[in-house]
Amino acid sequence: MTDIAKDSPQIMSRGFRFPWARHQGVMVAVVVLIGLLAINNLMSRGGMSYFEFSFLSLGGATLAIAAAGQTLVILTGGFDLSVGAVISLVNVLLATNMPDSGQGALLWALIGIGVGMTTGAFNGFFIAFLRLQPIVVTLATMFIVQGLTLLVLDKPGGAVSSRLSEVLVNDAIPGMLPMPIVVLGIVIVLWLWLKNTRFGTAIYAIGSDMDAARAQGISVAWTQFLVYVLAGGCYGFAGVFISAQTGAGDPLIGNAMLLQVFGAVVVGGTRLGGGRGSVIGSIIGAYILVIVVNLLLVFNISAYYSTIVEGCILILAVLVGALSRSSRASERSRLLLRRLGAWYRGLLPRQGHRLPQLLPLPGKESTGDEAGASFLERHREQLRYVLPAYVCFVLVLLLTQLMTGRALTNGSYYSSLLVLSSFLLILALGQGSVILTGGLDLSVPWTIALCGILLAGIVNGQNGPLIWVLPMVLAVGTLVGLVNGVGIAVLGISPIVMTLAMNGILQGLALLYSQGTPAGFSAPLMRWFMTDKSGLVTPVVVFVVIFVAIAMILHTRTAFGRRLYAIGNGERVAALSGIAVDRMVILVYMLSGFCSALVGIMLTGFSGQASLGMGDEYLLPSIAVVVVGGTLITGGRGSYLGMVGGVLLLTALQILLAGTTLPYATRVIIYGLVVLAAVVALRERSN
Amino acid sequence: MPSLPVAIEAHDIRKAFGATVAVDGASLAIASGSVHALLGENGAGKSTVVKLLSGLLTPDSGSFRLFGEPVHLATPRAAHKCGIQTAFQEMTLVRDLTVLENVLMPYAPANPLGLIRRRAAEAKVREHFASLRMADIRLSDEVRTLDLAIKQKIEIARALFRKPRILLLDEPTSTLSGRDVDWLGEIIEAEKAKGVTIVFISHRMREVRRFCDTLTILRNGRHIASGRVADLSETEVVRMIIGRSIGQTFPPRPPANAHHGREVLRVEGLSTAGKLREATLSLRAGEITGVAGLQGMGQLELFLACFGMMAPTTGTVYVDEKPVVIASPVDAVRADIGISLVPEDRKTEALFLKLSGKVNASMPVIDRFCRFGFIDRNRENAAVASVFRRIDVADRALWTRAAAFSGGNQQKIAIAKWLLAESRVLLLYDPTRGIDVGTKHELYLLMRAYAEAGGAVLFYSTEIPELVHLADRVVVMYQGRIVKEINSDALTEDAIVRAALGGAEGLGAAA
Repeated sequence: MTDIAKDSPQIMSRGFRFPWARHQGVMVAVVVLIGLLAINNLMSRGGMSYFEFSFLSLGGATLAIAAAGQTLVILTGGFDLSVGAVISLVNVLLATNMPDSGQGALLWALIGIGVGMTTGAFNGFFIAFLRLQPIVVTLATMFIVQGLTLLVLDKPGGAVSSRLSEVLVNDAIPGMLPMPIVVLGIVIVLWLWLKNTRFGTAIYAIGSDMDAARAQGISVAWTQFLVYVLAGGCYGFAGVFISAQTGAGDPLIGNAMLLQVFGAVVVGGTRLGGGRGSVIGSIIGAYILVIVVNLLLVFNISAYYSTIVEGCILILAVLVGALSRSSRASERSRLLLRRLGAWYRGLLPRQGHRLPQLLPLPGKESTGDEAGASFLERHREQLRYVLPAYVCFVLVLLLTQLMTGRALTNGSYYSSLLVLSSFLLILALGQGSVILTGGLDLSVPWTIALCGILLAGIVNGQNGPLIWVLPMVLAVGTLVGLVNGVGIAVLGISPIVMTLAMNGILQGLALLYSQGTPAGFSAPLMRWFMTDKSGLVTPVVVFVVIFVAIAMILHTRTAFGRRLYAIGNGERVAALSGIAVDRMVILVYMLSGFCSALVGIMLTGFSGQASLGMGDEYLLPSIAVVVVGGTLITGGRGSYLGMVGGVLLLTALQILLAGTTLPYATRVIIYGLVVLAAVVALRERSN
Repeated sequence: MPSLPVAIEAHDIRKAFGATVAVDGASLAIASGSVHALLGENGAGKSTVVKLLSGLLTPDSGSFRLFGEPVHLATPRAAHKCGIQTAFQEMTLVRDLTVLENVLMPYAPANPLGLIRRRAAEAKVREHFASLRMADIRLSDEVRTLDLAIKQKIEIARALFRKPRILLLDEPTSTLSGRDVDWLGEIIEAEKAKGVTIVFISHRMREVRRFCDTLTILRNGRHIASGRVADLSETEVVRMIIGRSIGQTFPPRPPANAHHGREVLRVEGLSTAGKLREATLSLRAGEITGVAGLQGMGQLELFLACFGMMAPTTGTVYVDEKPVVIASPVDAVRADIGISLVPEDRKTEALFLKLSGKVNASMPVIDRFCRFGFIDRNRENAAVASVFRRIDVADRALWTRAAAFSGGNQQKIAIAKWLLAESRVLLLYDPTRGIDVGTKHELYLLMRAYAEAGGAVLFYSTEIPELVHLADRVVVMYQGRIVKEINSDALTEDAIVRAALGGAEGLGAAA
């Protein structure tokens, strides 16, 4: 064989080709960045000054560092929603603790990074070693960390020593090189080093094909774990950096960054789902976002547009990144053309006027009676997942009884329990249906807020307009769901990205409509509906009981309900079983949008007016009740009955905690822990 | 031969996945320096044995010895340390990495800073590839851009690169055609000369005769027989593999000239963006049409296109001799079209694993059980129970989730789904993969009964004997085209294999 080898053409393999396909995303990002810089340059009189250069480099650095961390996670096929929360936590820690000395600044910068890495290790433990879904773990972490942040500092304040900003923010070479560029240079060098180690190959390998990587002897769990730790360290450093930049503490400073970080990563050409992309791309992506928002200022456009622009950029970047003949969007458009062509030529099956021809297989007639298995035997699996929520609910009831001495026998306790539950019972139907199909709706908060603000703004304390405003607001919510559904089902955007972007867009719309301060009041009729206690029960209780009954029937007794579960077991199985998957997915998100709108209306009625951010505290609970009720976060298994148990449990817990002196922050932490515990306890048993 | 030490010794190995026992107390011994064939049908436990030896799975009980030493193969790295290298069937190359990165992973040489010594490693790999006459493969190409056959060769080359003492080849020839099989033959010879022990898993007796010294036959996870290849006749081997004689296994076939019913489905000049090229095929009521071909020859695209799961680029589909566009499975399932597909992969394509057998079965036609928008659960229960009894699935399947059943029962539930739909055309894509011999026999009977009741069956199988003994005629696919149609009077394994390998006489006789 070696003889043959000698005369084989070795020259061919010597030729090195630059792997364009691999770096296409980054290349596109570089071109876009240069184009944007050119526009920026044209718009500012006399070209870009050093001041402007250093201003821009500073403005994008925090985002770039955070996006670098997120990129590592996404390259392995994961997702990290805790990024913004970690940045806030580090920020408030530094603002409240850092002494005004050089040593202190260094120590606390390291502590900041350490806090980030600890959070990452927490995430990584659950994801890598307990094999839980990254989304639900990091979402729970996000809320726990937000709670911790509020415990440290519950409103903007504190001060960060200027020692830190002297090192990180000022010029490295005055008039030539701003420090943030040096910092990013170091990040890039570290990345290039990491990428060219075995660990770097492992990151790409497990993101591209986890099974293949495992079969070749890569330790998947440890790689994942370390990636979350490293990513956490990046978020921690981003928190240090933003503290140096702003010089003050703000417990909400990181919240807006979640959308931006995903935008930067995707714009930078990194593929969601893993295996492709680079940290360098994400850093460029971060600057693209920052310059675009900066251009809004230059063009004198309201800052309320910024989340709209960020959301749109995220969606567009995902679409452009997936642009090819084999992408879902082009496949779906070809399918549509094919259907239209077939219809025009009369070739659709229903135009064929064929007779139904069924082929019953002969032999072995059965008596048709159900086998004599007991109810318990037939429903054992469902009960295993549904019962825990109800058992815990009863325990909380007993605890409430012990602590307050009046719960079990008190009618008004149950009435307020049901009124407070009503919001989540409705959200659970929407979010729960979405989760059952394997998706997630992160646009719930601002759908609620936008609908509430619209309602209060239009009816403005009058009963009369309700007759058309209520249907209109519900239609708005449903429309939001329709857009989500089309983006996910037809354009093939991942549910998290689509609904996260949509949430940002809705936030911008709500700000624009209200100009920052929501006006108006809910109608007296709605207030009566939500709070009247003169009758036997509050009217909303009757409504919600009917709602739950309808939801239950929808899930268990209709073809729609069956298909919901089917899609969650796998879109391909569902499609191969003759289910119109796209239509179902769109319908499910419409249902979720409708439910969010309904909750927006009810919340506005309940509190008399609408406010910005009124939906924020409903996102985690809407997911929590679904998970606690025994529904698998990845879909396909669960029940609305279980979710009802989850709602009752969480609401009873909330009432119990409200009776204590625990602040809101502690409650959020407890919710986060309850979600994690539920996911661990109710996860699918592996074979 | 008896003087050689034993390289691999497996003692009473057992491995179960849920309700499915994949390997059931198997023991085997393989002599050092020999080429040993591991034979068995799909689902006999061959691949599980390979995975156990590669450290991907650990046995529930039993033990392995290598060269006399007891070993615990807990991870792939542990297996590598013992000198075991595997070229897997479902290839373990990472799509988004280059050929070089794949070959080096995870043992790439690194300098003290942890940086991979790429240039030095590249030279070594290039030399290795050249010695295997693979110098034309560019090491900087991403694996995603390569053909299946090239990937299989890289998979083998990577295993050799690590200088194994024991080389496991898991069905390497399922994606290799004529010339590449010769290439593999040379490699096996060269490695054998170096004293490497080779375990060769295959379906094809031809290659086993050509490459192997000894063989072991597995059936339903049990060790059936071992011996020298030269001492066993073909019929003996086949009988041991399928567990009974051919005559007992397959239902009698109607005579070749039997009158088949009218045409129910025809495709004309059907091509897809994938591999299918201008396929023309007609299915008649009462007939079982077999499809043969090596992996990836367009058969999958043919099945998916007929079911509306893949859009054809050219060609027309006729149902009841009228042209129709089947744009999605929703169309195919309609009562007036009546096409069903039992897909390849039970776990990701055929079954809702977390849902009960009943919900699985009634899903495609749930609308037929609805009254005023609500499911009539009594009627549904009765209908599903009746189908389950027809194919001997336990009543437990009515309320137990599909994941809790063994492979054979899962496949029965997947088929029950389409029997309940009462379709006239049944497309079966490798339906006997990974199920036990008993269930296979039941499936054969069921397919024949379905055809006799007036259904049309299109049946692809990787087990050529199934096609030979069950189908009324077989079409053979090669490189996306239907290159040969063989009627039942001329059906032999040899004829099919020759055409499937792109035999010259097959190309001329395109159907």
